[in-house]
Amino acid sequence: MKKVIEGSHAVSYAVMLSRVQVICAYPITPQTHIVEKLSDLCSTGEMQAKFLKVESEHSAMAGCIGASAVGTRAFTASSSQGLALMHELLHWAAGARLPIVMANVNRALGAPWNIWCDQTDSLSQRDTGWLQFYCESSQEALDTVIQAYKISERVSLPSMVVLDAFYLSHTFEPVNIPDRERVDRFLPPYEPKYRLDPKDPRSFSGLTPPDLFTEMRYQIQEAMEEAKKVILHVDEEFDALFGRRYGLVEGYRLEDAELVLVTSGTAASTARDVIDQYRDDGKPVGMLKVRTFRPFPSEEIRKALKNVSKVAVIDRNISFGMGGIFAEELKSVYGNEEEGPIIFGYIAGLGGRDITRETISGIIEYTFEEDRPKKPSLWPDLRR
Amino acid sequence: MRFGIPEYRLPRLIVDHEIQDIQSWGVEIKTNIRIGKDMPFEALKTFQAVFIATGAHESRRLNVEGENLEGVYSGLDLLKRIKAGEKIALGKKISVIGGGNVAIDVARSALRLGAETVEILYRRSREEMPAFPQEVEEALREGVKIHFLVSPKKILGDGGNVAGMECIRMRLAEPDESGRKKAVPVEGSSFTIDTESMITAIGEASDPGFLPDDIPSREGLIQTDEMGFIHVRGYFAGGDVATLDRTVAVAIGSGKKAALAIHEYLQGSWSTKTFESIRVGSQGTISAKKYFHPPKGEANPPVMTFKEINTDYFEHHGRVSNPSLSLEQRRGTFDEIHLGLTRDMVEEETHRCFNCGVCNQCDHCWTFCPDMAVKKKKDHYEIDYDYCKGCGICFVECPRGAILLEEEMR
Amino acid sequence: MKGPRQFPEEEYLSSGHLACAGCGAAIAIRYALKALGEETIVVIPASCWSIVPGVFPHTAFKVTAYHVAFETAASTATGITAGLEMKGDLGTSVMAWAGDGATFDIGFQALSGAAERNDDFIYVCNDNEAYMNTGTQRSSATPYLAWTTTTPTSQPKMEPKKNIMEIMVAHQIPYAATACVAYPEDFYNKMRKAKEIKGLKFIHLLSTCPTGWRIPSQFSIKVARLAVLTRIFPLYEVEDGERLTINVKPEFRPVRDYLKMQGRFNHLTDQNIETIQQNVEKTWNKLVKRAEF
Repeated sequence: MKKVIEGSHAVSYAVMLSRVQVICAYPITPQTHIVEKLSDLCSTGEMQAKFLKVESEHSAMAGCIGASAVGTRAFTASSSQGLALMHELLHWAAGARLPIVMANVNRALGAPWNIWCDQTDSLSQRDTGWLQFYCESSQEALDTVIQAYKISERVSLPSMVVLDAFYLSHTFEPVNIPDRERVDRFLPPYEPKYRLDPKDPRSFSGLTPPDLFTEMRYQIQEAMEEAKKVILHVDEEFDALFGRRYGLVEGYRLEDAELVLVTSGTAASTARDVIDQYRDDGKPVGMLKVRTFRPFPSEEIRKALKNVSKVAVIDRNISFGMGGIFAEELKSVYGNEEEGPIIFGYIAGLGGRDITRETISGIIEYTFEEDRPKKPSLWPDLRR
Repeated sequence: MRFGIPEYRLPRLIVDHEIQDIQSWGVEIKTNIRIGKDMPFEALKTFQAVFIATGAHESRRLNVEGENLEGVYSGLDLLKRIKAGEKIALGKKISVIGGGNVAIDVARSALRLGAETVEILYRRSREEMPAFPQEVEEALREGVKIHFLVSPKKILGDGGNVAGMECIRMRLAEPDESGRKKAVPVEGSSFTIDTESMITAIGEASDPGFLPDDIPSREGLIQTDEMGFIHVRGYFAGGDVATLDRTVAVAIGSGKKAALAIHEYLQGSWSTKTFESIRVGSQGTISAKKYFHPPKGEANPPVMTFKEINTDYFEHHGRVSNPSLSLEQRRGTFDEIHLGLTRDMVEEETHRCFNCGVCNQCDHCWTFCPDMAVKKKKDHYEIDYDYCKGCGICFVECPRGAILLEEEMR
Repeated sequence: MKGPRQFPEEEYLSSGHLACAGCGAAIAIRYALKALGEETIVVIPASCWSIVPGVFPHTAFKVTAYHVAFETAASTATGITAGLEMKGDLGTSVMAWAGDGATFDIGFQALSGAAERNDDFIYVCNDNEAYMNTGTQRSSATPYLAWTTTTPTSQPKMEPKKNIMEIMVAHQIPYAATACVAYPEDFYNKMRKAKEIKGLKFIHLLSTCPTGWRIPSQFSIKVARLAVLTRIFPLYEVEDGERLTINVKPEFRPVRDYLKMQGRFNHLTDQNIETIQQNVEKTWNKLVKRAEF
């Protein structure tokens, strides 16, 4: 059923369709609409779930950990400060191999306060063992949440589905809301191998000695590797039922491109427009949208960027003392290689500053002009 | 006991019962025979063992002027006569010299015979009084007056009868050989008191005259070892004739020990080692039970003291007090003072028993073991030493100290 | 003298666990688990109990145990109960077993949240009055003037012990009670009672730590008992935030008897002890008044 809905609500409907059983809700702009909608759906009975009004994001994640450990599907949503608050538990959830799905609406982290779009919050969590999916549209957000449960439950690792603050969370788009029956066919009930079950008493997450810890961590790394295949597999299954697929990365007009923009989130949408313009002018530019940040799709990226001479990465985030995070991870793809594109790292759009067509054009022009980047990170929209 | 202890403390009837009991076991009692007079000591040679317990019935003399006046009595003698039923007129105001149980017995008896004022004169202070403190207490309650640090110098007469005493105050100096502080007269402190009768109770002596030469005695006391063995042929001794510790309890105890010693002697295997092996407790008390039923296993199991009782588990419950006659009820009669416990009282008293040292399966040790190393068996507990950490909680929480905690090694 | 206690014999904790000799908590948890039985999920935040059951792959627990981050005992238990409800399991008991640090301090928010929502589980605060697992640092449960490594005798703890019971009672949860390891029947009965109530049940359990309190291990129970007998730690229950029942009304016994047995109070002067005595009496009288009201 097609409906014009807010991006945040797309996530809510996906949670409902995924038959999530326990929702831990705590408000934070600009995620709040997600949980408000879920509250609605639960109260009318459209959704059968326990809606826990927890008293902080930290408790929200703890609640999800508890619920998931028992063997129920759990969900929470957060952003910025809230996400940062639950940081230790993000490590915990992944270490505990729990297939929790969380929607994170990318918002800047204080200080100072800033409620607008910025990817630093979710990317700061990149070491935690969570899968990360960066969504460009409301439809993608909806579809990815549903896919995420299937993927997570297969690899036993939690997933973060990421949306841009306001650009995606608060804008209205026509969205195809799949019907329940079809989603049920795609996503069977959650049946974990191990769960908290008094009929089969076990101890979980107990003290683990050096003798055994490395192997447990290796298992997670392996699961992440495995996840790449699983993501693609699930994508195919989804496509078969719903006619949509997204992949780990999406290339746009990459044929014979000499310069490729690498970006994520809603900036990719704007970028598509700009690319079209340049192509109309006969310029060999293309775009690579990175959808899956964890596991980082090194192979897919390398393949997509083969024969590309220059890459301009647009990072709506920054790791202080280093640079844009997508750019740095991209550079590491080519770490030991002899050949690879020249990578220009651009920081733009922090704290909700629009990444306009002009910003993007400026980036493309600069990249064309310069042989090599003058600095590891360039700030094209910096006002002097 | 028959003659030396007043009726109000130990009724004749009780002693008679005890004697009847002994007779019922086949013991032959021959009375009215004075060894050394009616029968020579050597005649006892026909017996394989002889136990001498002739007691101490001679009163020590004051050795002051006027001791032979009418109205001067020896305490022991007087008690004998009272117990025999004689009604003696002592008068209204009498005095007693001495500080031991006999002096107290005499004073309290005098009250019952009708004396209005009974004064005890004792040459030392209350702390040095050898009489049982409870007896002194009772005497004071009944109205006996006690003057401390006073000693008679001369007994004054009037027509051959006692009329009064010249006394002198005493003070305490350094201790003498008995360990007690010496009483020394205070110069120029004489004073006179009136009295109608004067009773001396300054100590009893035994008369060792009947003993043959080869049985040693010193100052009237027969010398024996701890068990009462004189180590001369088969002769044993006990009671007041063998010790200055003159109480009923000690006398009975000496009889018990001598009985064991005689038994051992008659086996022909006399050895002090035997008696070492039957001691119990920290004071080394001789146990008759152990003598006849040598225990298998530990020869001398530890005796639990009050320290090992965990009083947290017991309600504070005072001793049942032995009911006794009121002061009014005691006046003018020699009825036994202590009425004894009723059956209910006895039951109440037995409930106070800690059952110390003996497990009664209260489960505390099992309850409080942090390591579940105390295992419950059908009628006892076992410690699983693989898991016991030696914390000692079971040891402390055992209400009756039935668990021992010992250091294995250091 | 009462007869032997009647407890079920089955143990849900194995011997061989790593608790210190004389650990009060090890004794107490035996009775908590006896009261709740097999169908129990125990939630354990960072504490001695993260270590005591042993190192993976061994565990001393015979029931399901879930180890969680420090401040998340209550919040994880909240999630677990929600999940169980969604699974249609209304029979399993969920018990959070958290120390005083995890309860009074870092996990307080989560506990307050769970209490306010009246989430259905039993929260037992195993209070040994300091962060013991990390070597005895002060928590807000550490008593006035007690020594800890962060409140040395030259600067002992000046703040009074936080009154967690009053705070929890103010949340109007259906059941809040104190308990003491030296009174296992009382604790057992309270746990049985809590099991049958729906909503958040809070048990404040005083548990001896011979290591941190600096007492010989054999006096573990004796000292805990004295806490109750000297009225420093009264045993009482509050139902629905209103009905207060005092379970043990001991005769007067000076707090000195309790304090002088412990190395952590060795430095107390007579004046200190007198102050504590007065505070205890004030608090006790208030409690008695409330019970009568």
